[in-house]
Amino acid sequence: MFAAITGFGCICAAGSSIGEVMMSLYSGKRNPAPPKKIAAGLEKLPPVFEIEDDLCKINSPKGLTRTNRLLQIALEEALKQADINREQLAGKRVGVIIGTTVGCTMVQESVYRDYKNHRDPHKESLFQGLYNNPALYISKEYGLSGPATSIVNACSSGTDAIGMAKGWIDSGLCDMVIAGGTDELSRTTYLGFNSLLNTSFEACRPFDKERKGLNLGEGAGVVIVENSDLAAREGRKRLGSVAGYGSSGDAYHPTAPHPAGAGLIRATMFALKCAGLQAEAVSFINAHGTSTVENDKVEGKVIRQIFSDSATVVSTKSYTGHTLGAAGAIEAVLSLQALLDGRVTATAGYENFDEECGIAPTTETTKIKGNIALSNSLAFGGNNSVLLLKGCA
Amino acid sequence: MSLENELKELIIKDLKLVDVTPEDIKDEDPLFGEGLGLDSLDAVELVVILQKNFQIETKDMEQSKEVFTSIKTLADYVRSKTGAQ
Amino acid sequence: MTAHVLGIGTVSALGCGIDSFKSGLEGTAAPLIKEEEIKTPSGRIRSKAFRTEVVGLDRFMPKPKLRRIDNFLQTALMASYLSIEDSGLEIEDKTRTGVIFGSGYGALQTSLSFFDDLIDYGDKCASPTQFANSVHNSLVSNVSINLKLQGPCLTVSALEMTTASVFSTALAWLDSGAVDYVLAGVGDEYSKVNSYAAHLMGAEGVEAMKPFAFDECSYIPGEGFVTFMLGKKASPRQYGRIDKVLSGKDTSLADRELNALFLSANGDKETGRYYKALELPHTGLFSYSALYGGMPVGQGFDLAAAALSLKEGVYYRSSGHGITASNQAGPIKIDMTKGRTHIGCLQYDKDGNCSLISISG
Repeated sequence: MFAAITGFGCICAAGSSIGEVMMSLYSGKRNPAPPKKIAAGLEKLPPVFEIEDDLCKINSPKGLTRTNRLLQIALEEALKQADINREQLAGKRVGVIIGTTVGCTMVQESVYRDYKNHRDPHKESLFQGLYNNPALYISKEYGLSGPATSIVNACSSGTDAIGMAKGWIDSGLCDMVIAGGTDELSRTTYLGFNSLLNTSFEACRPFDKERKGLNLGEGAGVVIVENSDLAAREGRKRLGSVAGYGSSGDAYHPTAPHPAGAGLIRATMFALKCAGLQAEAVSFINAHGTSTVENDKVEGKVIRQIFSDSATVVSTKSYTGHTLGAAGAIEAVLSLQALLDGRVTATAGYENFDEECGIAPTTETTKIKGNIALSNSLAFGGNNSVLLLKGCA
Repeated sequence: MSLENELKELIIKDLKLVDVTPEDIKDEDPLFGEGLGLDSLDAVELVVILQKNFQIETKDMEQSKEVFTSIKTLADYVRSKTGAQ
Repeated sequence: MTAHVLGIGTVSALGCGIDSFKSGLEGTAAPLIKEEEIKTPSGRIRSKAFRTEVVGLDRFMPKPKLRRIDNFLQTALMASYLSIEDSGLEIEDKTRTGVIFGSGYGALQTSLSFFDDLIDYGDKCASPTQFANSVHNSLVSNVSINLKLQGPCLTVSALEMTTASVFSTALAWLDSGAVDYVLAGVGDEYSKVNSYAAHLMGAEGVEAMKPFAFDECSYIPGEGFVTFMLGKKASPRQYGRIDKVLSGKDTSLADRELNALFLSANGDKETGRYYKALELPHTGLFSYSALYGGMPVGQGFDLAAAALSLKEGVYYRSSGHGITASNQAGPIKIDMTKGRTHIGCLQYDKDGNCSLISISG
């Protein structure tokens, strides 16, 4: 028995389904622009990867947050791919683990503004903030009986969610786990990252010598992870599996990564050990690759140290932006699809080799050998998480 | 109060330096690394201090490195941007 | 999957450290309850809240290191240092100690201060430090930075299901062999908005919490942090063994092994209805929320109480007003000669999800 993947789905600025997103990726299409749905009192607005409203269509209850709506779109796609309906879900021990940052903001800025200005916020608006926890929402909406939790591990949340799902399956806690991540663009993260001066005023360029910072994005990714025996018994096609997961703290600095990537090295080695694989078995790496000066430098160094110089590295953030709590999940979904397609896309924006990073990501659609993808996430506070995914040819 | 002292007090207050008085900071002392021991997170917080108190906007950390060297360079920068004495 | 509780650190309205928590359970210390004025739709009202004060953190951390550490972070750091001290452990390989924390609301005060700057000074004055500290996982990162713990680091949030989520993950980590120890903790922070929310929930002019008055709103917001040092192997100073962590809709209470049940009922009517509907065959039914206050992670403090009960061999008397004949027992000596004693800690959320953590000794 192992943690099989029988369905996945995603939505982001590159498209509202995995098919649409891959089409954007293969054609090199991306369009970061100043945000439309959030206002910010800045003279110059850093561009973002925002989802067009007409992509975000779903019949959802009134008052549902955008973060939860995005999650539900990705989940519906994943369920459809796995060919599971709501009734089938209700008959199993189904758990939910969702990574997010904005989804667990308990008091919304608008509500606090009202409170502070003595415009007594209503019960509904206040409690919408308190009860929009994405995992609990999905559990309730789909009538699930298993455990549900949101992962709020900053930028590695989506990766951690899928890694934990493997744990829940391996230990027999659940028959099936809905694992993923979701985040909408918000003023808090937009202004917060702007204040850290690590957002770029141009489209991001992961690992490029001239990179100037990240672009934020929004979206959701969901993977259906289940007991492989159950999937076989019920005749669901296995698309892949969660082969390994590793996580380790830098114990170094609240916002800067460890200069030698000590935590990322430990997390990578642990993920490989967990999967029983050697570094050479990895077909390609979907890097965290945010395009900030520090991240790419440290991550590049570690990749070069553990994998060979010729390792195939891609940063799909160059098409989706940094979707924070959703990033690891969206990247896992895109990595799975790449394994199924047998090729990875170019890394948009990359042109100039940077000695400090020491790696050159893909510049064109590249064929891959083997069926193992590695996806990195590096979070605030020095948390590093690494996921190994296996694709079924 | 001199601009230098004002900056020292702002830094102590907003960066929440513990057991440091304005007298402890020499105008020419390096703020980062060895000197006062500030780090990258303080650097971006310093940007907010300039914005909040002097309405000076800083967009590029690379260009600011020289400006953020010491209290003296910082004060010179504020003077050049605002005409303060 | 099981884990031994090797040490506990509490920071609550009863003070810092497991001894002050024990004094509260024994009835020799009272919680710190502060009153302040808040503005509500029905005018200005006086509102009570359980508050914490961190004293003695400089014993573990040099003062200059505390400069960016906000109040909530202080409670988490203090609880962490105290639980390791309480365990008496000398951790050799710090890459094999994981840290997992959970919070229902996250760093509320810091999040609100971040908004304050935007509102008072404009969007250009967003504070990067406050932004970093307001992110849920800042507690775990700062604890891992200061205690040099380099194993897996994780932060979870699931309102009233948070504590179960933390402990089920901690047990899974230990079981997987990835770590030797896990520092597992939960906490929440008070802000004026909590009092405002409590008022909207119907907690008007509440004088005291009545955890067993399930139909009555007697919620008083609280705050605090509790951490547990967990390990695979037993130690002579340990408190007990966590045997089972269940959460969701299908957690069966028909677990006949349980000798007593500690309810996290806290005067909130919406969850109160689920505790009321419980068919409880148990003779031992206890609640201690009136010692630490209302918060989504109350169950963490009940687990600390259960661990203490097993260590000291006594059930402490339930706290709070309105305790009836059926639940006024305590202190009762536990007969530890009759095999293992099993205590279940039980918390419900507003949708009827249930979280059950059972510990034995």
